[in-house]
Amino acid sequence: MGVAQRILRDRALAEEALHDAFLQIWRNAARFDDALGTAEAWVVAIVRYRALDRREREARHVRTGDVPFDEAEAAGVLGNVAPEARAEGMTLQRCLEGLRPEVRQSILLAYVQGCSHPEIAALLGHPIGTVKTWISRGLAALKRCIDQ
Amino acid sequence: MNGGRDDAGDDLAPDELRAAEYALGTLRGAGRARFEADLAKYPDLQALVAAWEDRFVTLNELTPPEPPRPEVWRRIEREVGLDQKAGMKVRHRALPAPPAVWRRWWESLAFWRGLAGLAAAVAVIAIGMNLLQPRFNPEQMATELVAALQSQEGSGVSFVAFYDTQSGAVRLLGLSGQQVADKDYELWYIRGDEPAVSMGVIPVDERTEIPLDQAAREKIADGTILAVTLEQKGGSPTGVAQGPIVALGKATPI
Repeated sequence: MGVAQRILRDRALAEEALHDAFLQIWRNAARFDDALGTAEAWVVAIVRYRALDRREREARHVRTGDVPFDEAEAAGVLGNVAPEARAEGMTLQRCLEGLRPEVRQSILLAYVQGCSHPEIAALLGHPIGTVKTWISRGLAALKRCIDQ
Repeated sequence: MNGGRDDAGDDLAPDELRAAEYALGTLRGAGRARFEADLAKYPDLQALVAAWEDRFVTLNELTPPEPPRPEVWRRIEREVGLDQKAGMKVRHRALPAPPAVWRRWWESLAFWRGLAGLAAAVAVIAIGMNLLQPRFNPEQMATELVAALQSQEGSGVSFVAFYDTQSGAVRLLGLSGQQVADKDYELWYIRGDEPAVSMGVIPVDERTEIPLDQAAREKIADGTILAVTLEQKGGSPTGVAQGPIVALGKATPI
């Protein structure tokens, strides 16, 4: 539920999102195809999507941007993951570090805190169009770097 | 637009960009709804999204586990019909010293752990929470776990499992896979280098509740491996796994 809470910043909403996600997992589990990805990624993704649903629905109640994203803390935890996940985590971390800071920040704000383009633009003080370009270029760069 | 060494270069194709932004979370509103509708129709899009979900998944290690209140789980269980408990046999056995067959099994385990899933879909998801711990004490913060058991050798067997420490039971839902004539599936947990311990024979096509003994409650935690093997009818008579592993995964905090 930490994943949902990070996006929603509200315990009750996070519980709602978790409830939505696990009902979906329970009912649609047969649709999971492990040729496409790991079950862990699938489960985490569903929790995130349902948290994003709740975030959109409750937009006015979510304290967007109250807590600034702590990149140093994020990097620290990334380096401290379970040994099995570390190799994979290090790849992602290394590739994120290869991005320009504003691009990396935009992507982390989106993924970790569930921020939208306009929210990231407001937080970083740049036009939405610029943020969109950063993110699309950043994603292309990440893909090249991770899949190498 | 920029001279950055990594973020210049070719853009993603439109569908791939949509998939990436969907997984990232920046595809919102009507665009997101349209994409989800397309996603249900086009396997190619599903594959793109799954690949992006995989690329990002380790970012979730940033998040400390946060236990939901017990009421949340009771509600989920009520809504999915878990309160209609399917009966089943549960056997716990004393284990002999790990024999050669176990070592071979472990080697294969270590090997398979490093691989992504193969052909058929097998997902066993175990969510464990320590709901008995007081929430206000961070020292005793409960853990929320997901174990993703990948299919082994195209077994086609899949489960979802919930682990609730308050009831001390693992709840399993068989998702796919077929009963094999004269054989039974058996669920095991493995803590560290210790030998696998049976949690009993499990059906593949129904909901099952497996009450755990005290030892199992203590051992099933972050890092515990859950595995399903195909054994002779009634399960392995020796308490040691003898058949092939059909599903395997590790409990991790979500």
